Amino acid sequence: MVRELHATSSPWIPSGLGTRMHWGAALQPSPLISLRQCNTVLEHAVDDLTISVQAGLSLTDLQAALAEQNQWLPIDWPWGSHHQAKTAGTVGGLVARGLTGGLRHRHLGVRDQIIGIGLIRSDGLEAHAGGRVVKNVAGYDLMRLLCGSWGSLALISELTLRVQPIRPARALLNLKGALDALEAWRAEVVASTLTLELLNWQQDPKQELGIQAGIASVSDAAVRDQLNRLESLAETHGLKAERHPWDGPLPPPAARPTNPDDEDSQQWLLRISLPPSQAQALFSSQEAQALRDWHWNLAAGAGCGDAWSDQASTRAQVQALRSRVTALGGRLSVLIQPISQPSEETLPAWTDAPSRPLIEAVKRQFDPLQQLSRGRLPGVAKPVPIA
Amino acid sequence: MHEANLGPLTHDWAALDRDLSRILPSDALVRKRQELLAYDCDGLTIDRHQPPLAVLPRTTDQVAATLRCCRDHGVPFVARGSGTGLSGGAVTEQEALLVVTSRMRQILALDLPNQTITVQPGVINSWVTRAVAGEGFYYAPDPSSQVVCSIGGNVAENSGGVHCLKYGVTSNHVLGMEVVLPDGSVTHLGADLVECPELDLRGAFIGSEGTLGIATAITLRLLRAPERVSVLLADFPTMEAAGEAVRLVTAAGVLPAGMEIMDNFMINAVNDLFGHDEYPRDAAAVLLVELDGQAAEVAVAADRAAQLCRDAGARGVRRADEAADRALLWKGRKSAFAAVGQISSTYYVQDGVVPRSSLPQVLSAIEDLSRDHGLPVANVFHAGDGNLHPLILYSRDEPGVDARVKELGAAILRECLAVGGSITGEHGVGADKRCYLDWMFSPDDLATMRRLRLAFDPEGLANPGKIFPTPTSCAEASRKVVTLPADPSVVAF
Repeated sequence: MVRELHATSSPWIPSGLGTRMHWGAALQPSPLISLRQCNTVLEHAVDDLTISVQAGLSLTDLQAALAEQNQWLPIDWPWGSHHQAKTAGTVGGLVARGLTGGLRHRHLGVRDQIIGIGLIRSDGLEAHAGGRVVKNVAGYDLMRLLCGSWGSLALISELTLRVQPIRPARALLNLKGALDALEAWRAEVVASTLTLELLNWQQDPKQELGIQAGIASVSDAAVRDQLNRLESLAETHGLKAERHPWDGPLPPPAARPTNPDDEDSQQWLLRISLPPSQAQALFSSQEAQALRDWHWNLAAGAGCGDAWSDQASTRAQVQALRSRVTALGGRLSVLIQPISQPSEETLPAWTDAPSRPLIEAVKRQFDPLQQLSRGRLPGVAKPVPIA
Repeated sequence: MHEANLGPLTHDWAALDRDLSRILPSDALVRKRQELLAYDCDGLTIDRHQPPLAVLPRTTDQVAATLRCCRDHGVPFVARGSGTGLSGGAVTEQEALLVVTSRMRQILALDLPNQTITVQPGVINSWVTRAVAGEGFYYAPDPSSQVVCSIGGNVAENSGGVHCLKYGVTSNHVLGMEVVLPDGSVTHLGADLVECPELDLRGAFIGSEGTLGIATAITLRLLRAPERVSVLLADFPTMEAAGEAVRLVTAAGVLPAGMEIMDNFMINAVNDLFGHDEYPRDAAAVLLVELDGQAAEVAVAADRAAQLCRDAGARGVRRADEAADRALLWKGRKSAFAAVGQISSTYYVQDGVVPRSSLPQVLSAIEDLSRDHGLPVANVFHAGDGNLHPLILYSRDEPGVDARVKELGAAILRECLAVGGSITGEHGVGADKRCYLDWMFSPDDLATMRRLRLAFDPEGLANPGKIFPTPTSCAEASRKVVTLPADPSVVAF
């Protein structure tokens, strides 16, 4: 099928369950090639803590298969989803977006879990990189190149991932208090020897800004010890700390499932990444204060996460926030924005990266006819339109 | 001047030299044959190729000007850090300018609140930790050559180390890079953030073995030094039992910082070096397990790991919690190469990877291969991630031994691939293994990888001939009788 499309220079869009096609830069309407039927576990090497899957496997099926062996992939549910297959999407989609949540604090990102990849190039040729072992430097790292490529370079067909045993003991701790005190607590915690599973700035319109810490361990005693130390530190900073059970191993989703077909939606979803010590400056900025009724969920040790709202906010407000984030040394991506009026210009999903010429050169090599996901190239604000 | 053991030179080196002299200080050019000898090989001393000319820039601007000069003259270049690599990657096999980063040794920025440090590529790996240890931080990737090897070289090879089992390899710790591309232009890959909304060319560049350009400023992630470290040393009557211990510890969710195994040959070599029996001479294997992290968790994890070792059949388990005691348990592992050097002045280090669960099977196969080839093999390896380092011992005086060593090394890699492994876990492909890369990848796989290369380096100027097999190079390699003089002073894995 891909070869035929290539022969006629026809555009097309790689897809999984199609749950997040509306995220990121707007796509030029083109046929989707969905891998939803390619959804099997190819090999779960339980003792080696690796799993090879077809990219169309749903995340929920992946986590369920792993859970049977008391293992898991330490990546948060994508924003706007939970354990329901319909909203969580596929493993291939997760990799194509390359976005993670609070679990990044301990487990790093999606890119760090991939040890092998199978792909179908725009000309229909199948290729592989990496392998099935956790340590491997043979050949170029196409796993990382494809992770976060948003369907712009190739169709991801297979993935081999490193997985982990589930740690049996865990707990959550929620902290509330003044922003200065929260930041002082956060800075002390991330510079300490404590080994948290997650650490998130959280805010929703009904609740003031706070921090959620998650702890997981092989031992209840180790969890209790960390909770005690975190609470003691909170007390010295005048913060209120509250323990919560954590059924886990995945943290509860921060956002309710959304309906991508709701055309009247005022929905905004922004992805923010900045030096973690600058989060306080961001939250206290005039631009963020203007969006106080938004939801915020940022990994406090890593500096990346989501901000979203279904209330009316203007593009000017979001653009101002983007400028503030950039001034603080960060980047802001617009993943969802309200449907624009004909006279209104949408915000670019991504700003131009310093390496834009190189990004475009890679695109030309992998997709010389510019067939894949037209209109979308991460690191390029406005990909050159194709007639 | 401009002599090299490369045969007749085809480029106008005098013209290149003249132009480079205009843009670089006079002491940044190395022309004398006796001085260029220092660069004729890296840690793998199989082949020696003296470069026609070498430059030692100090700044990004100088690197960029140098590469523009190379482009203008159509002369390829090879980047070199400390020269400790073990795959012949930093050697000018073909007629090329050698760009040595060893004078680029500045720490450019330190941002402790965000736990990052930005360094020039010639900064030595262990210097990074030394720069921040006083504040309680460290840089995690720790190749055994860390007191000598450079961060730029680590980026080129995607270096690992003993502790990469838990903390990952170089690619997990680089947040951004300033890179000079082969056409001499300067760009930035990544945004010095953990997540960057652009194609991950930073990730693609790391481990590209100098074939995509030269990193001139590298921002690294720093980690907080752990609160507690414990080391276990267990000895086993069979290699299978040691492998089972690795499996049990891993499956239990006790993620050690590192797990290392030495086989009976190596145990006895180390005992002989020490002059006393540090380890039981009849043990088939000793397993070192290092656990680190929060004190309460390490205490529980160490107890559990010790019990799992006993469950797997360990005859004895020693444990060390204090620094001096831990160093004692590690001493044998760290002395392994020196111990082998006492037995044989020449040896060849292989670097294959197998799934953890296949370790006993593959080690048994290596034993058979060793017997069949009539060459002793000592094993010391990163058991936690299945990264084998068989050391093939030989006497260079024995006629025809070089070919047998090479054959045995290749046969070991075939065993690794037969169980789904890799031909290299951390040493890279370079020149040494390029003719094995197509054992692992199809022509379509390799053609796809080459597309990345074409985007970065359409003229093929950066480290030409490395990584990818070519009919010419591999036909030559199969005919060549090589000498493999190992240098026991180079311990780089």
